Amino acid sequence: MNDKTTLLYIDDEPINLMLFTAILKDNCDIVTGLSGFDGLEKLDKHPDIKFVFSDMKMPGMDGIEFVKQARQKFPDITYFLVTGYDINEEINKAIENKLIAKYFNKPFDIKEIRKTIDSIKK
Amino acid sequence: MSKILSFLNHFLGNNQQYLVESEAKYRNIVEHSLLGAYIIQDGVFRYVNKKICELLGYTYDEIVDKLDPLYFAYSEDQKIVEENVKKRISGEVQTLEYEFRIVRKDGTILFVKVIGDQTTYKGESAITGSLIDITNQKQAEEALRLSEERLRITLDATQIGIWDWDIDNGLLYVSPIYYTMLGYPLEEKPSTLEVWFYRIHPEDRKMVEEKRRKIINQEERNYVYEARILHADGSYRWHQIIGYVVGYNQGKVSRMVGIRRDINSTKLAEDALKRSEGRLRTLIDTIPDLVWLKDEDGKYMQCNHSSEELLKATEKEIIGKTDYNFFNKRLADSARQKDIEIKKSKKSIIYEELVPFPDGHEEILEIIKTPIFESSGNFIGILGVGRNITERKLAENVLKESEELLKILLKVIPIPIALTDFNGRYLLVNDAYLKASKLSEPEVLGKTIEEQGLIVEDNNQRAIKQEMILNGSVKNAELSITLKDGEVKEFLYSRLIIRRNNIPMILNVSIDVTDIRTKERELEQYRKHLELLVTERTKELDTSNEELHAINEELYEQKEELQTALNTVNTTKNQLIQSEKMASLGILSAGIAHEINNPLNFIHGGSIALELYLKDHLKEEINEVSSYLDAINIGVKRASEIVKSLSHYSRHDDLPKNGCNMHSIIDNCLVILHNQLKENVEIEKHYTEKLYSIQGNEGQLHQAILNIIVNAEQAIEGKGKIVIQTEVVDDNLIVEISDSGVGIQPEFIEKIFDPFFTTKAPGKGTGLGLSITYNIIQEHKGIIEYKSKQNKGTTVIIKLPINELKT
Repeated sequence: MNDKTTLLYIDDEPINLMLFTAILKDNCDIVTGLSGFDGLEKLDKHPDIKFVFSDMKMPGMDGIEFVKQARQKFPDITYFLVTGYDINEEINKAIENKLIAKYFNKPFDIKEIRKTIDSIKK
Repeated sequence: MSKILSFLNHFLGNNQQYLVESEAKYRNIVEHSLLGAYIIQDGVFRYVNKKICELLGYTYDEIVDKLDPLYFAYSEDQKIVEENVKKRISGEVQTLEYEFRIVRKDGTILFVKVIGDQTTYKGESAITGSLIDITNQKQAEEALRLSEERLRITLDATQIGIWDWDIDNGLLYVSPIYYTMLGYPLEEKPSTLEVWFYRIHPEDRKMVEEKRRKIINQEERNYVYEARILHADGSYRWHQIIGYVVGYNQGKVSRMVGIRRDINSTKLAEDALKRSEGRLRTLIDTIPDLVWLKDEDGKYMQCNHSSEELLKATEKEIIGKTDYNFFNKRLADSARQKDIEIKKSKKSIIYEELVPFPDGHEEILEIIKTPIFESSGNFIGILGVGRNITERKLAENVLKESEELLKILLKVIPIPIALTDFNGRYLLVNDAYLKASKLSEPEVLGKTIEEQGLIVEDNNQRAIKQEMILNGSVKNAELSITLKDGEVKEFLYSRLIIRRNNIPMILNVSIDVTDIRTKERELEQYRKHLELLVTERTKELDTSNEELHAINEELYEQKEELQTALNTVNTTKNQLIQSEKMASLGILSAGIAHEINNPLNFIHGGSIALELYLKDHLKEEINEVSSYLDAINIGVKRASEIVKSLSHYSRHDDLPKNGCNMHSIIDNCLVILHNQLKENVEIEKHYTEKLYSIQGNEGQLHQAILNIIVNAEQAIEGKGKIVIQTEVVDDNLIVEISDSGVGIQPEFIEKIFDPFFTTKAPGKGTGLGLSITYNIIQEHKGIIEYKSKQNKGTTVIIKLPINELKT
């Protein structure tokens, strides 16, 4: 086990997965998935995952649905949503219900993400 | 004449000596002179010439030395002659001249004139003279005097004044009667025309002047007129003036004479006659009867107003025409025939006739025709008087008809009616009586009711008798009668005393109410039953009525609500159109934001990844490419901002709303913009001091106000002013932000709230600011309005409801 935090990033856009990994690979071990279903599988495979970042809009299962299902199995993980939309009622509710810790706008502010991860790690 | 006389005197008198001497020579002249010559001595004629003999009708020998002058003198004149002879003889007078009458031998009387002298004859004193026959002259003079006197007396008697108008000198000679006639004192001098002109009544002067003008202009040679002349007593008298032109001078009228007479009484009588005629005429015209006068040929001579009306013609048009002009031939013929008969019989007649008038309507006239004769017996014509008796005739007919009608009515009326005498015997009954009593006429007439076999109930009979005694009549008394066959009938019986052909009788009217009474009893039963039913139903109705009333009120309230809703719909229609536009945009922008943000994420992420890679592997080159990376990052940032702005279009009803202080929001905006605001832009704030509270999202309101202030600042070129004012009006907070900038072009004012509409340079504005502001105000249930004048400035008015926004 290395001391790097493992995080899962789910997005249906492979480019986003690639760039996210490229930027944060120095700080974290990054597992990626192309859909919610993919994400749930990855969670099963990687029990060391501490943080989950999920895109909001995805075919098949959207971000919130995925987080809901994932949280049932892995309630200790901190979940985040990444969205191209502005904040909406659904996201607001998710925050209120403590389903997710925070949401990030696209294009993502890497500095903010780093800051958030760091603050939670401590 | 006098010259010859003096010559003779000379010859006969003073030269006596010479005469004697040359007597033979002149004797002949004297002897044959046309003047009578004589010598008287010692009271007798000593010489007379032939002419004297001729005048006196005696021979020379009969006169000379025998007769004295007094012998010939007319008895009344003898004294004059004697005196005059004496005077000369005595020498009292030398010569004298006088007239006297002589009586000739044949008894005729002559007027003579004597021119006498003194002389000596044969040595003795004597008188001589010449004698002229002036009889003809005297007679003419006398005739003239008499004629003048006659004229004067006549004129005086007839009150006729004579006048003589000297036109050249403007003088008027008038006879004395002229003065006395009018009560003025006599004047010796002739009057001027003016004096008399101004005695003419002012109303008549014009006419008189006109008459005179015609004379002066020689249009007429005489005139006759009547005028009122002022009497000395102040009254006016009617005068008739007649004048003739009698003299001309150099082609002009110079003299006019005429008479004037007082016609006052005639004139007044005439006027009175006219008035009285007028009154009579009015009387005849006023009476509604037709009055006319026709001559013996049947031509109308006169007619009154009523006739004019009926004949539809004026009197003028009627006069001269006959009945044939107005009526049909049959009627005209008959009228003509009657007129001829009346003239013959000299008696008036009266008859009635149906007359069709020219306008088509018919009337019955009662006509009286009377022949009119003058007092001398001459036939003047036929006087007709026509009286319209149509209505009277109609009334008579109606009476007849109504009698007929009554008979029929009596027969057919289903009510038994009978006439009885005072003994109760039946004189007349109608069909209904026979039917009701089931009797025939012979069984009834001449009999009493008991004789007819009918039984009247005793009680009824008594009551009827009582009422009869009390009132003299009976009205609707109950009467029950048992018929021969035992059937009982009920009647309402009335009795009345009437007079028929002046004989009092009793009229009996009985209304058969047998059926009605039976029905009434049945009805009474029904009525009682119905009353019960009605009471029940009324109760039910009352209940449902109350319900209906409540529903009605509810409906009314609903209607009011609907009206209010309709008003709201109308006022917010435009706002809805705008917000619908925004809502669609919201859905659209939300959809595309994700799609754009992902590629932006690629670019941004790619750029960061590149930068990290360069930092790790190509540290030397990093400075060279960093500006390129910056360009990418700026592009990403701007694009992502636009996308983020678009997200404002999606609904944000879920955003938290709290009590907001608009003043502090405005102040915050001004603080943020402090650096950006140009130095020469002055900010003026007028905040309301009233307390208010707005429920809203502070961040959004902040953004809305910021956008407006930024726009205001950007509109100002050079120096300018921004005025921010708040006010509480009714339940609204009004925020007014005015700038003194360039204003909005009129064609743009409708587009300013449209997304992406901008007049700013690229990069300076997205064109979303105002449309976002609009959205925010809408979400706060407010209203935003723009007023702008080019080159004067723009005012933004925001109206936000106070204390009404609740999440």
